[in-house]
Amino acid sequence: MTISSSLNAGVAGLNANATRLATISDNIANSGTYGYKRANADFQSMVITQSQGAGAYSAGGVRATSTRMIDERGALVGTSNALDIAVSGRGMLPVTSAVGLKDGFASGSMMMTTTGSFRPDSNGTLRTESGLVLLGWPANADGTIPVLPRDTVSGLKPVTINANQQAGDPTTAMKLGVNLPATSTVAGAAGNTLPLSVEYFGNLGTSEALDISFAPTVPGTGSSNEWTMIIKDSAQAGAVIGEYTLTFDNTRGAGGTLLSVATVSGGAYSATEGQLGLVVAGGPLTMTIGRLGDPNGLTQLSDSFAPTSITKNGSPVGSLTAVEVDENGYINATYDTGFTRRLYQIPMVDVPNLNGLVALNNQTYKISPNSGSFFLWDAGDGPTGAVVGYAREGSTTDVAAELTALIQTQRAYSSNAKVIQTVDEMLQETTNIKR
Amino acid sequence: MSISGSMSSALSGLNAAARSAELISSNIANALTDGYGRRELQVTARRVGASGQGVQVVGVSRELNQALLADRRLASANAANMNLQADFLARLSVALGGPEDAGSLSGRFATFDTTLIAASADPQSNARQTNVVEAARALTTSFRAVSKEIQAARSEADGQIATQVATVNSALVAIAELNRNITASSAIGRDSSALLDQRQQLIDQVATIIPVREIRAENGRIALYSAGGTALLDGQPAKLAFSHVGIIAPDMTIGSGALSGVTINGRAINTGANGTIAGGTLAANFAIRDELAPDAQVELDATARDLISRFQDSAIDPTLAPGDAGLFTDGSAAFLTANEEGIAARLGLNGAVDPNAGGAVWRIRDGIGAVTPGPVGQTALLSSMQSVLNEARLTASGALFGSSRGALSLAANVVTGVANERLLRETEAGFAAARATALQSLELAGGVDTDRELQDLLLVEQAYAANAKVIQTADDMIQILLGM
Repeated sequence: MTISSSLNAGVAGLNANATRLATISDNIANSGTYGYKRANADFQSMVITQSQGAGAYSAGGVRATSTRMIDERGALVGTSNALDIAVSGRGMLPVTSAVGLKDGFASGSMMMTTTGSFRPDSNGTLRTESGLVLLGWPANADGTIPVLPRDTVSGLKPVTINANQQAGDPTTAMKLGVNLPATSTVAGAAGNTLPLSVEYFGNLGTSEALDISFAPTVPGTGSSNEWTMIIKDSAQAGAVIGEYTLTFDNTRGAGGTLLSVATVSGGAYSATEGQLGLVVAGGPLTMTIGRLGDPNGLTQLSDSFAPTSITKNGSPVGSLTAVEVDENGYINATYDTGFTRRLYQIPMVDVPNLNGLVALNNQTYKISPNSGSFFLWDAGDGPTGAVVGYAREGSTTDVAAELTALIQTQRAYSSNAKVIQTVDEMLQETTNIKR
Repeated sequence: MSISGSMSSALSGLNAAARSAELISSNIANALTDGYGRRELQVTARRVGASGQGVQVVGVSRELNQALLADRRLASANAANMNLQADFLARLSVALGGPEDAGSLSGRFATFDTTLIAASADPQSNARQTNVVEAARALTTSFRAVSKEIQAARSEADGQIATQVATVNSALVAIAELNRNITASSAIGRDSSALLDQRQQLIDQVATIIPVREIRAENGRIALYSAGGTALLDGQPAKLAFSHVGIIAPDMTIGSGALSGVTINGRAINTGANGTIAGGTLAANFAIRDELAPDAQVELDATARDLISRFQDSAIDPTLAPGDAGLFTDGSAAFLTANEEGIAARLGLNGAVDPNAGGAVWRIRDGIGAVTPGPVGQTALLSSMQSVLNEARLTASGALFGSSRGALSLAANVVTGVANERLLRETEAGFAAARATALQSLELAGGVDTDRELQDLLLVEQAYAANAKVIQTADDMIQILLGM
């Protein structure tokens, strides 16, 4: 009977709108939850009368389905914690639960999230308050990331940062800018050898010194503009690692710059680079003394011996002071001596169908047959976006839209209730025909 | 939702304005602090992911004119150096006395000459002979006092060197430590301005003692080299060593090994005027100890030697046997030319004429070696003593070596020589001080300008109010939404 189908349709309408109300209330409740993805209730009509032009119509009613819009992205919100991580674009962070960690992080327990506020726990493992542990590929000692399979989680390890670790950074390059006194190579000069000691850092972070001495050649008449530079390494008990004869230009315009460098012993001088290829105890060390005619390296002007610029890389052993994540997903440690080292890489997990992921507690998602299999990308590569530190992804809930939907739902609900009431009254009429 | 985005932007604006106000207050509070570099907040538009969201504080910059600072350091080191040397010459000049002053060295010579004339005019007067002896005694005292003053100045210079070396050592250690802290805090992006202020003050302290050149490295680290090219701080602080001597005698010099030079990391360095530490107060102290004071002593010794030699002569006083001491003695013995060094400090009066030492004043008239008083009327010795004092003789040593002069003229020459040099140095010191002051006021001109800070503060206040208004408006908008 047509009239009872109307009653059924009205009840179905009430049910469907109750479902929508549930999604709206959940969305509004989570409007301040970082990483929350909005749930959406969709209505589908059901049809009972299929033939065209049939005399009677039976209402099929409505059915509600709910989906979570995982591919929608919330606005990123800046924070003050370096390890508040979000993703700008597609892709998710691999995480596991603290429970999964106890099992030794077996394959398959990987979950995904779009944002998290990670802090080291008592073991140094980065985890959120809700117990999610960040996963990443550990870097080698020299900061490179090994080649690991990208379609399984086998290479991923919980990110653990030891706050008390120390690291050194050996010196491999040095630039020497020194002015030698031109008056010392004039006939009758005293011919004193000028000493210079420059510190460098060995492979074990120890402080060593290159003892450089400049001995002028004093001619019988005129000026020689010639010096002998001897470099000794303190790490090799003062052994001579290089001896060079330096001649300086005395022509107008180029006066005081290097004219020629003759290697007596030790690493050769490269005229194109202006570098000496020294070998110190720990390995090769390039010392830049300037190209021929270069006014920025070794010069011989006037009467003063003056180191003008001596720069070098490397640093002494330092303690960890800060950990930050960069946009490529590398977790870098900064040491108090000023150098940084790469500790982990956080890959971006991507699946073909984001909305097919299974939503779990704590804004995490799991692979499902609907989502397709995952692939681990370098952040920023392929379809994935960059990793952003000092940021959280806000909830995708738009409170204004939800409140509008709430008004609509309320109206729809009362309309459905009105239908039921009307059907009831009509049935009453029918019943009242027979007194 | 964009309303929460605008709230977050406004909040970052409030933060930046508050930080800015904090820095301005610090600037104003330190408007009179020496070595304080004006701070300014560096802000940039914040980008989270691909979209902009408010403002971000990137750091605090400390304003500093590096070239002016380096110039000012060298100039104040030079001024302090000149000043110290001029001070020593002023002190020496005061000890010697002015040429017109009766108590000065040349004044005492003149008094001695006058008393000799008076005694030869009345050879039987015991009082006049006593006057001669007293004038001679005053002359020896004067020599000894000046010599003592010179050596005291050397001793003080030696003591100051020890203090300065200790100061430089501890300052270098502190600078190295600050270097580490600055690197650590700038590596993680913290504000290290206060540490930079402290380091600048410490470098200023070192720079007056040893002029330095500052070489900047990454992460705010610096290396310090002396203007003469020795590394004072390159990662590790250099260790300066010096051994202090309690009392300095005229014969103690750096050449004889009795006095110490400075070593840097165990390597001996040249402490002279063109050495590696030249230009600061440390070099000035070395100049006083090893050059200025010994030069003055040599001149004084030459004058004392000339005086002794004039009277230690049997041609003047026939009672003297060869090798006997004359009126003036070396200690209490005769003077030997080999012992010239430091003679001014030992110049004495012959005990034979000194009533205090058991002698008798009539020996002035009758001869140092006379056993009994002679005839009271004889004037031969007194007048020949007076004439030998004024006789032009070849000077045997010192700066006037080879020139022919009387003893009075020689003494006057020492006094005016020192006075002239003092004038010269004081003029130079005046120039150096004027230059240092000019550079210092230029440096101060680049410091905190309170008017400008207060103007900035007004702008910050406006920015703060505007950001707060944005938050209020966003709140109103949400209220409207909830009121639907």
